[in-house]
Amino acid sequence: MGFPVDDWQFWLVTACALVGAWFVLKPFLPAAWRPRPKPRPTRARLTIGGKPPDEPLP
Amino acid sequence: MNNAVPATIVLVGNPNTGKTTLFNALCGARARTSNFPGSTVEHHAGLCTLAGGAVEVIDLPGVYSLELDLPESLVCADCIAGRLGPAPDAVVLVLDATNLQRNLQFASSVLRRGVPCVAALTMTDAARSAGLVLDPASIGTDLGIPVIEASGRTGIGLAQLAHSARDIATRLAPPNPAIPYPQASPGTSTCADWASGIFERAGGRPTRAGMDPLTERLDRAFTHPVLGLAAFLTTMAVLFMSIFWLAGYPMDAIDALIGALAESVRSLMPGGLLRDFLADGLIGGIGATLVFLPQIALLFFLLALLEDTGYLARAALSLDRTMRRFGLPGQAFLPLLSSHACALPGIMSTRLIPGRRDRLATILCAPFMSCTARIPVYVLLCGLLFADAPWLAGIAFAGCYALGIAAGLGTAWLLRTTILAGEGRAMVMELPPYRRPSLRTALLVSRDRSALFLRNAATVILSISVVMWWLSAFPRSEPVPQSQALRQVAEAAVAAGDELRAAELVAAAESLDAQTQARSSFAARVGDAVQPVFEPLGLDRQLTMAVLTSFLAREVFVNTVAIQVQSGDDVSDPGTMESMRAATRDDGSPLFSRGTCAALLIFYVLAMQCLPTLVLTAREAGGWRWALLQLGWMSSIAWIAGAIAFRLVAA
Repeated sequence: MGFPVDDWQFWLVTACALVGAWFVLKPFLPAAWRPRPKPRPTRARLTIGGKPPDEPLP
Repeated sequence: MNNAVPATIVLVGNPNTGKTTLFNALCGARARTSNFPGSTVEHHAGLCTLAGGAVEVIDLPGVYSLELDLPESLVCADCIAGRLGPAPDAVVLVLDATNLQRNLQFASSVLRRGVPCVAALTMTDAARSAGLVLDPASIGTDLGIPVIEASGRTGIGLAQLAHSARDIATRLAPPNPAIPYPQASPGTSTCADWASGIFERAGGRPTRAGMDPLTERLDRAFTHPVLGLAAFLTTMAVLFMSIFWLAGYPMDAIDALIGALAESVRSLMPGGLLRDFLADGLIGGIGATLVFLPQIALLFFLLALLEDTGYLARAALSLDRTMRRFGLPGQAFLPLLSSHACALPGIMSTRLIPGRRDRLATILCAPFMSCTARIPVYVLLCGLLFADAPWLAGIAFAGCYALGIAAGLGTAWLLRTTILAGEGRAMVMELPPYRRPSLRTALLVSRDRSALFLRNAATVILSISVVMWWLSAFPRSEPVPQSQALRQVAEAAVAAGDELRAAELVAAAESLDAQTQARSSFAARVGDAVQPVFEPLGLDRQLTMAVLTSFLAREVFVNTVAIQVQSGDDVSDPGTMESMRAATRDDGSPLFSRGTCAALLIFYVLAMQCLPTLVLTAREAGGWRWALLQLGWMSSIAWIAGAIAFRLVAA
């Protein structure tokens, strides 16, 4: 029988296996091939004239 | 300060001052654990909700000084200075009332940095029972910051502390600039005199020279070279036996739940690849690992309780003497203890060890320590070896840990007497007082470690389960003539109205086809090709394949076997342990004979079997030659010891 290429379920489970293989092998791929993590957003403080906006201005 | 962004408050102080208990009381279950960017130093962050909004609390590691050239000290200093992210809005100095003078010297180095501070005076109950009553207001006047008596255990002063910290953070009020905080320099007494003055003005007086007689007696026993070691081994044996007994019930429940889930998928879905994939690949694969979650949760819960009592510090001191005989430095104890959770943080934390030879020896022996990834393998094999005697399984489980430690120390000795020969350094450590352990802290530690295990199960193990199922399912084999004949007889039985007989015949035909499939799949072909290497350990092609896949992560061994067993045998078998116990080889003999179980158990204690650890060793040791030496050495002795164990037990 080999591979049941006419069965849509075969293609679905094969796609799942390929995704699984990608997750297993990802850490061992050369750095250039690996997806780069998104930079974490940095927190900024909002100030008006050096004072927090919720503090009454003189 | 913008109200949309919560104020950030960091907890700093000497080790064992009650910082983490305070943090847990403030943030509880909303905390998360992570490493500082670019470092191996762990910190906990959480949100503390107050009436006027939340504050973010960060629990920094305990340090004796901010000026030391150690990862923890550098991280604390950088965090306070805002070099690791936004600068904290306020610092909560945690001061231990029973060790106030030393704690004040550390406080001086924080206050000199001019950051907004508030102090929490902890352990006041222990100080009072030693006859020491301190006045927080007096300490506050001398330090120029609010000092609040607080306890994470009883909850006293917590709300006041949180509000005071938020108030300081909102006003960004620095300590009193008029106060000259002295610099703590080695060899000078200025800072010590300053701390003594504050201590005396707060009502402190020189404490009794001796300590509590019971503490003294217990310390003498627990740190004794022979008694201490015996106490440690007994404690660990009792701990592991309790885990086997107590975790049995939740394990059975999870096992039954997973079996029922797989069964309902089989009964609800029409037959086909997708149904087999979901029932055997996903549910079977993940379930085989999830079943060990209660063991892991219980182990870390009990270890956290033990650490909280103050016993583990004594055990460390007691083991330090033993370790030094094997050429390891005292500082190696912590990396080796961490390696019992995972070798990766253990190896990373060897950066604390100053000497290169000492550090290399510790890196090379750390993977021998039994990490959590080995637990599912140990539990499975000990359970199969001693199915009817949980106490013997517990002893075997503890024995695996002991064998790992012995092999690690033996390796260290060999290295330090040959290629890494040289002098070692002494270890200095503070013994915390004996305390009633905090149930809440232990539960939080257990939750953290269990979450880590589940995260791993949801990523690596799930991926490997899916790949393994595919390799076991393809290429599809033709139905064998015997199964076709059985199906024809089944059709005849249906025509004759004997439905029960027909169902039995169809099940027998399916079992035959599944066995043929298991022998002709990709997984079987790889297993067949490599199997001769593991023949002396009594492994067949299925176990060989499981050993090969578990090189990525040891715990994968269990679900690789489970997937192969489920796709190659009676698929309606419910429990993981039961199906493993009943699993057979191609020749019909039991898959897990006693000899094979013993050989595999020894093999997994001693073998490297962890690719991420290998990569990290190459990076931390400064070259692949050290990593390859580690892989070659560990694999060789694991193979030899496994083969010997197989011969001895199978004989």
